Amino acid sequence: MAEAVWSTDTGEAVYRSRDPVRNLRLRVHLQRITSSNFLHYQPAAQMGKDLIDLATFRPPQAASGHRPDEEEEEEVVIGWQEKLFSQFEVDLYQNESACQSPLDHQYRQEILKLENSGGRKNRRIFTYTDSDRYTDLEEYCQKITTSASEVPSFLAERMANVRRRRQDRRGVEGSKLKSRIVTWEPSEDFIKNNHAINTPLQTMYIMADLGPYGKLGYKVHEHVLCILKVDSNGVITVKPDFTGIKGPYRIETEGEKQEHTSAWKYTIDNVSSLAQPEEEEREQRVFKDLYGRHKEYLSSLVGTDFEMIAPGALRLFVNGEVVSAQGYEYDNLYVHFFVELPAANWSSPPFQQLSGVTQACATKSLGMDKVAYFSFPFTFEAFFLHEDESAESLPEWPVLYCKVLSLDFWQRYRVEGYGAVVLPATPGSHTLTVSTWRPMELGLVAELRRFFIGGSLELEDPSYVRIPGTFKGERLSRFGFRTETTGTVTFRLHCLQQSRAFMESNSLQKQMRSVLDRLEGFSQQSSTHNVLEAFRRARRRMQEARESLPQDLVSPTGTLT
Amino acid sequence: MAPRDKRLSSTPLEVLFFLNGWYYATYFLLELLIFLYKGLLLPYPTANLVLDVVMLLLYLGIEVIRLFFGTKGNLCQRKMPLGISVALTFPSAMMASYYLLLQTYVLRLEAIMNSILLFFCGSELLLEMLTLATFSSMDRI
Repeated sequence: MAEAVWSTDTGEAVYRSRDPVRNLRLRVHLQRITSSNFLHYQPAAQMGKDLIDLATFRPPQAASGHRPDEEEEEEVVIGWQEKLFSQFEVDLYQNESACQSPLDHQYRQEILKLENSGGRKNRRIFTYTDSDRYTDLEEYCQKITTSASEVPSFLAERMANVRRRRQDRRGVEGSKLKSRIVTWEPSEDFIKNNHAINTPLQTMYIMADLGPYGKLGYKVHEHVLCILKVDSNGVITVKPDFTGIKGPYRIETEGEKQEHTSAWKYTIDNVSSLAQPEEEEREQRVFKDLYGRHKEYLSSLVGTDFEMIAPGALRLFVNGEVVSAQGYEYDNLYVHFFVELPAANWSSPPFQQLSGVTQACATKSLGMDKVAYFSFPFTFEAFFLHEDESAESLPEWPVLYCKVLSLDFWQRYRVEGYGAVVLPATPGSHTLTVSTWRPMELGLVAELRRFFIGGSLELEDPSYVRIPGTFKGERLSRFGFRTETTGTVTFRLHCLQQSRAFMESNSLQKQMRSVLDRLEGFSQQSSTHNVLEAFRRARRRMQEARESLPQDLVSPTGTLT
Repeated sequence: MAPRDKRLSSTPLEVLFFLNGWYYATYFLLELLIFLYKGLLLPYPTANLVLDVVMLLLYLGIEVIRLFFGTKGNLCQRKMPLGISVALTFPSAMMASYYLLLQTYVLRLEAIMNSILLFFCGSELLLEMLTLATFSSMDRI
């Protein structure tokens, strides 16, 4: 029967709360167990009934000469980190000489004020808060077993230094430590004071003074009722758990005589008040405003502009790289390169240049070839404007010309090769290898001049590599022009194309069709083209049907005649 | 400085400088061996032998500087280095004449080699004058 009444589970419980911890309220009810009131125990949920029962039996106890009830029963509502002084502390801090730290002086002031205003409201129940010395000692000098002769091992001593304390309590030391980031030879005290892990805890002990009547205030009679630990993440650890509808917890004390042995029971309840509806709505509104403002900030960072180009125009954006040159005769190569835009319909922004020169690069042997790696990046942008739709010919694409030269000790340069390549018409990444040649003059004198002086034939117009700009006519003849094959230059081009014609829109049907016809290689747009052709065929059939309609109208008229 | 697109450098002069460089290296080594031979076999006075060897080393210095400044002036199309090279041609010719005529013992091989060196000096002097005239006329225009 006795086992069914008491709660024997004294394990700890873990709760999570997003509410500030200062709203936490606990009600602790402590009562001595005697033979007279043992039979009248009731659960905590029926507290009113208990009061009636106690009132019924009050006169017989008084008549029998027993102790008053105030000494055997107590109930206190405790807030978070609320300091309730014990009789021992009241007696201790009355003495001025016992105060050593600022906390002691503060406690002395509070105790003197309490004595003047009528004394404490609590008798046996008191608290140790996070700032008290007892909390530090309790966490430092923990024993694993109940043996009286237990000696802490080396590991236990080391782990005791890993205290889960708030670091802001050592503000002075912290500010001093900021000037020295690394301490090269830490002392033992330094290790003990500054060793901390990342989750600081706040601890609070709810204690009870279970001394006999009239002998309160002795350290040996103090017992722990409850330990509360809260960290910054809102995790609340309660040991032991709230009783709720369970039975009360029991504590037995040992006295020097048989008559002083007594048992106590106590309950712990959570009496934190719930939030008001107005406060809850205000909190939600605050969160909504915060998230909204954050979203607006992110939107302002990103921006809402997207560059649009004129209808009927194509924008070509190229990020390129002169990768390498290989297979040339002399060392210290460099490359002149430029992009030629066709005269008709192509344009580029005036601020950018369409040419460049790489650095001079010494070659190294790679297999049979001598390779010079440039890795020279360049970028340019060009626009194709297609104004008249009646143009029949396909648009010309820009051409990349390159000229490879070598430089010697005396700063004499020799032309190593000319080359040209048409830019790719499809977007994406392309690696192009340009084969080069150089003009050659027949005879030994020219070779001697090239070897000793560095002079050699040069093209006045680099576009002669393909079609000269000054060419007029239908047939280009290069008879009599002598060249020698030289090495190759490797380019890497990343092409982007942007045009409104890529958007499927009825209003831009004709423009889209005309632009699509000229951009060969757009296989992904062929499905759209097929749909347009099917639409035009259906439209033509409908027109033919409409044209044949008047003949049917004429025939019935003839029949009537 | 001459215009960059105009190539005023003289190819024959550069060819002569190139050949003269290799030829003088060969000449220097042969002269050292010849002096070793003459010192061992012939009754060569020690003072004269030391004088001839020291003058050979001086000749080496003069020739190296002359060829370097000649090449630099010709390829970079600058008159000052080419002028220095012209000025150093005369001490070089004097050295060759000394070894051709005024040595204590003159071998037939030495006579032939120094004659060739004098030919190089004469040809280079002529071509350097022409190149300097070309540079000056282009600067004036």
